[in-house]
Amino acid sequence: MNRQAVFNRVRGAEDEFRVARIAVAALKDQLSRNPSALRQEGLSPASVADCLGNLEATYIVRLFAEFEAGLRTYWSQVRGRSYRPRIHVRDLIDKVAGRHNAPSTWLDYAHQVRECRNKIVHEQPVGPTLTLTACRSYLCTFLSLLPPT
Amino acid sequence: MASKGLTAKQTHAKPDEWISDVTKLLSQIRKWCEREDWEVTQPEKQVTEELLGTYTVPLLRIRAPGGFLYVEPVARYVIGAEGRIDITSSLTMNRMLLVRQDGRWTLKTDSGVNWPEQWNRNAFVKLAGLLTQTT
Repeated sequence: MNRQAVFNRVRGAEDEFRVARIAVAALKDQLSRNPSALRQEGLSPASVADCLGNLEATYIVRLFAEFEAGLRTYWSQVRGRSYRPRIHVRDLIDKVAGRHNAPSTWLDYAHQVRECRNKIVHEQPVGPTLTLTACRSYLCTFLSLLPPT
Repeated sequence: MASKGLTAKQTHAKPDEWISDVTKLLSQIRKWCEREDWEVTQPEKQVTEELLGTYTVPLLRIRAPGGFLYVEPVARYVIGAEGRIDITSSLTMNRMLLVRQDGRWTLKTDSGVNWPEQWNRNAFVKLAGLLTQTT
């Protein structure tokens, strides 16, 4: 996977979020006119409201997963075929940053997104601490460290 | 995280010294380009660093024989060095890193491998050819 492919996957996750937000908002609007529209599916209008409320956090997790997968693929290429250990993503980010003399600010931003993802996954937050757009921007900036091929 | 290892002195740094160092380096590169008869323009860009805030710094746009090259300051505070400037071909997107370590500018490939030659005019001219080379 080259750098552009990783960029595309991260940006693709953001685009999917935008589509999903529009679609769920439209469904919510439809339910305001016909509250029983989802009854056959065993779902209530409250489920749709929950879905909309959690959508950004859900896609931040997805966005970070694409970033992490791209970084792991790159790092395994750097280390060669014999490299197998599964290192913690925090250490992976640090190693890539060290190899490419990353600006400290870029490294801090990548860790901010990682911590935001961790809060969503592990701490049941009231909402994400960063917007999805900010997460995408921070992660793509960090990914620009990687060589194009 | 990156900023945890920085000293108190570093956290109070101002960008002036870095901008001055970059300007000197770019001025040197500009002279090398003039000797090669390569056209150079010097636009500016804004950089934001957590420890320095937002500042304006010059960069170089060089019309080398194989295509345009950009010599672009990235940041003063980087992991494992005391500053980073990228040299990139806009045609091939090939990139070399110029990093300052122990007060000296050294070259690294985009893959993070140290370049065996010292940073000087010959290395720069050679790189300009290599970076713009299409395979």
